[in-house]
Amino acid sequence: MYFKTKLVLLLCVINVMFVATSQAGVVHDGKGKAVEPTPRVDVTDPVPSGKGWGHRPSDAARDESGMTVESMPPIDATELMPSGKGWGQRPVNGKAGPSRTTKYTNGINYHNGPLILGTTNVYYIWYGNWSGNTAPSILNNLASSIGGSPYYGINTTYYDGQKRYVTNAVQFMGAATDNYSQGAALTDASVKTIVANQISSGALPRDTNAVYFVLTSADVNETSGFCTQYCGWHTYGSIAGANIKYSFVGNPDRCPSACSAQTTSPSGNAGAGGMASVIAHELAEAVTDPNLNAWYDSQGMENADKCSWKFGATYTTPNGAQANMKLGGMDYLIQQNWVNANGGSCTLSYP
Amino acid sequence: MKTRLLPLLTLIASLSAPAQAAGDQQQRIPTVTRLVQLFSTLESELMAALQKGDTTAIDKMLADDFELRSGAMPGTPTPRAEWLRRSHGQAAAPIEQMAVHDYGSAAVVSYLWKRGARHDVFIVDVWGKSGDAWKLSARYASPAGDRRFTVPGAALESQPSEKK
Repeated sequence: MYFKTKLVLLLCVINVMFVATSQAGVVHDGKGKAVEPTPRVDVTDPVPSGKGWGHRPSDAARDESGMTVESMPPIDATELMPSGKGWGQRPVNGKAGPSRTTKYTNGINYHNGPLILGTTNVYYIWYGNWSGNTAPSILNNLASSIGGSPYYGINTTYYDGQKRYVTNAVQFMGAATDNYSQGAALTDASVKTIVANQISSGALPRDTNAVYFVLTSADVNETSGFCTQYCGWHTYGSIAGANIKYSFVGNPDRCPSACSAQTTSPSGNAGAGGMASVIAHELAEAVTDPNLNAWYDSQGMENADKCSWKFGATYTTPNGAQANMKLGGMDYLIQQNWVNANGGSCTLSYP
Repeated sequence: MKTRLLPLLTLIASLSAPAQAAGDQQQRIPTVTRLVQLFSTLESELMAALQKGDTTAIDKMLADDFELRSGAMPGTPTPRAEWLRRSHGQAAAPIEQMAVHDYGSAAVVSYLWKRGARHDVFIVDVWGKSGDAWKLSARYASPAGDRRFTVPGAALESQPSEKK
């Protein structure tokens, strides 16, 4: 009887431990390493209101953002990995957790990873058939003029563990073309191959302070969920021995209801208009979370994710389309971005 | 004592394996489509209305001939009234990995309903467009998360790359 009682107690303890581990959101890759849980739309958690914890946006007041920078460890991108729960996890034997308790007040958290600092370089790879399409001129203008804009200034509210801030500087360095080298049905891996081929062939330089955009024509699919789950994405990878940041942005003409905000864009090219907003989205995220271990919120959402498909105040352009900003003399409808100041909110400009 | 407990602990460890496998997918939040954003909101609002028993809100989002078909009894649908009765007051749970296929006047929405270890549900909802509003016409649901159950043709061995 005594033995049975102890056995039951032991089972209860083990069961409680297992349930607690399962519900803590720590998931595993089957190899004993902790990895991030899947993205979620938590119906029980409201989107941050951006109310109530305002701080001055000035440089001096940035010290009051609520993050105890002095208590942070040295930056080590390999040390911690995202958990999607608002802190980095150590991938050791499946045991992971926050390295400290850090207080944030702007609805988005820093997870110790690096940012792209200084001037961010942008390269385009036009994949597929873009002949006769006005997208190159529309999107080249975007990349050439977004740096220095009040819109891109939003990204300057983000900083690394040494309080080095993102600068409002973007340089469009050039473009290359790819005539369906990976076919018309791409995978995540083939997008990386497209970037790698351009770098290894010398068509584009190897640049670790850059974001390479693979821009696909409307006849090209990305089979991991373009049009049904996403309109674009960014990531990083080892290419030619360097940490290269790259992004996929597909042509919304393939699925206007999913990836275009409007049927007529200010430029008269709905696909390019939709791509402009997604490029701005991915660029903001690639700069503030290039290795997927820097800035994102407790739901795993990066700065631009928090403002997806929100455009703020708009105006009507001569062709009847809506726009919300002018860059390089052209009108664009670009989604808002999350400002990491004043309690945090979606906005179109900073300061 | 230790010797006698060892098989028991091994059994418990093996039972925990499916729950771990359920979380194999890495977190990925790429730039969601407008429709994923729209239906995430609609599904969340419907869930909240069901929880509160808000019939006005439910009627706006649920078709009159709605039915639920579950994997356990594919040929025996749960009709609207019965589903409403059983869903009332049910705790809200997160929605993950949503995909939306748009067919103009209809949309097929799939997602993982995270109800906790061993209770996750894979849902496929069919929404129909009525004027400017969407109404849920049918729901197909089945337990989710065990990769040991092989779906013919499914590429379960291919791991999604980490991207946002």
